[in-house]
Amino acid sequence: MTDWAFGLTMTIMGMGITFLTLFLLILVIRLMNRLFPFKDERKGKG
Amino acid sequence: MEALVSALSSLAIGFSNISLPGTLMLLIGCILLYLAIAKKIEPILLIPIGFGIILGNLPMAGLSAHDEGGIINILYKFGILTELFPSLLFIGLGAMIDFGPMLANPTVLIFGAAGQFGIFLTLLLALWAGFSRQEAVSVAIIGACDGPTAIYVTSKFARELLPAVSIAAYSYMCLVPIIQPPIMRALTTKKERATLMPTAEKKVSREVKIIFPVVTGILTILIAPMGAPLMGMLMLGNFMRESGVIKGLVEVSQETLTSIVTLFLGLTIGASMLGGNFLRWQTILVFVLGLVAISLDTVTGILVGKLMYIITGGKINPLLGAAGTSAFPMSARVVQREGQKANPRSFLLFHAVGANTGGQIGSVMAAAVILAVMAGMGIIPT
Repeated sequence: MTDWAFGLTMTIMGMGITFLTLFLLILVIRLMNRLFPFKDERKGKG
Repeated sequence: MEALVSALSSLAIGFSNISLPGTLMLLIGCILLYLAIAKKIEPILLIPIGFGIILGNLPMAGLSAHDEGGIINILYKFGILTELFPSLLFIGLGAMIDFGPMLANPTVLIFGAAGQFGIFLTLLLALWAGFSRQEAVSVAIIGACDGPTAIYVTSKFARELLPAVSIAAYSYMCLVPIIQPPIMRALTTKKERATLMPTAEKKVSREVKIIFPVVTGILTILIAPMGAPLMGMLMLGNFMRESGVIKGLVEVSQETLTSIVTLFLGLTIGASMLGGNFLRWQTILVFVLGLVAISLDTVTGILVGKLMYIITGGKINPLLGAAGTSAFPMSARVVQREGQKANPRSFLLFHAVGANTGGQIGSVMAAAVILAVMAGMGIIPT
């Protein structure tokens, strides 16, 4: 593999997997926010 | 008489072994100490590094990081070659970070990913400049804007570049307020910079804050196991913080652990900067490419920010893209300042902090992927 091919492979895989992972995290966080919404404790009283 | 002469000559042996590169490094060490004390530039780092340079370059003292059996060599083998020190620093970092703003608006994680593009673009440039693959990766990781990550990756691939990469990574993190603004202004219009975003801080539940580090650790480590030491320690520190039940450990992690490890890290890195290895054209190239890496991070982050601005019909301020680096909290503050310059009613800090903490995760993820791909190619052992 030439250096150029190596660099391109690293770039595509590196950015691709990083984006994909963070996109998955976005979905997971949104799911968590739906399952455990913030409750304002002040509204619960009185 | 002969015995007396012989004894006296052994006392002055250091003077007879001093070299020009070593002397220059002593001078550099003194300059770093001056900057730390007189100019108050990152003293917690520059003092150990500066003193380490002086100790490591004194001839016949046995205090360089490479003098077998010396006390600094022991620390170097114990903490740097094993990647222990950067991993421990990540516990402290995780204990300091509040992921709340990012959890409240997880879309900003996109900027955390975009802000790592500079690493890979710089990798291509470093290969073109003649660095080997391992060296090019080590230089490119400066773009992670994260000292411990840069040290972790470089100690695996190109230990001879560790001093230059470490100094560059930490220096440029401090220089983010100087590096980023011109790029931000060049790539955005005043109208774009003036975009208002919601000022009300959204809150997330305690359950989400507690579950997040566990879920993130599991997910990211399953995807890229080679990043486990960094991501695992980051999430451990954050879980301790959010659990709320071990405040003592959290405080120790934030203050004592971080300070001790920073001291040893700086000392060993400084003592590994020997004149013969450090004073080369290659070192200057490392510094230049490191600057390019961080600049490219900002460019790609801003470009993704502009794309989000267009996609959302002008609801997202493109300046947020610059906060997707791991330079926490400098980048977030720079975004806030530039936003307010364009529109005094703009308050971007909450969103910028979210993007900035997302950048922390993005940078560790990028490093983990690099390690995994290099291991898959057989360049480093799994």
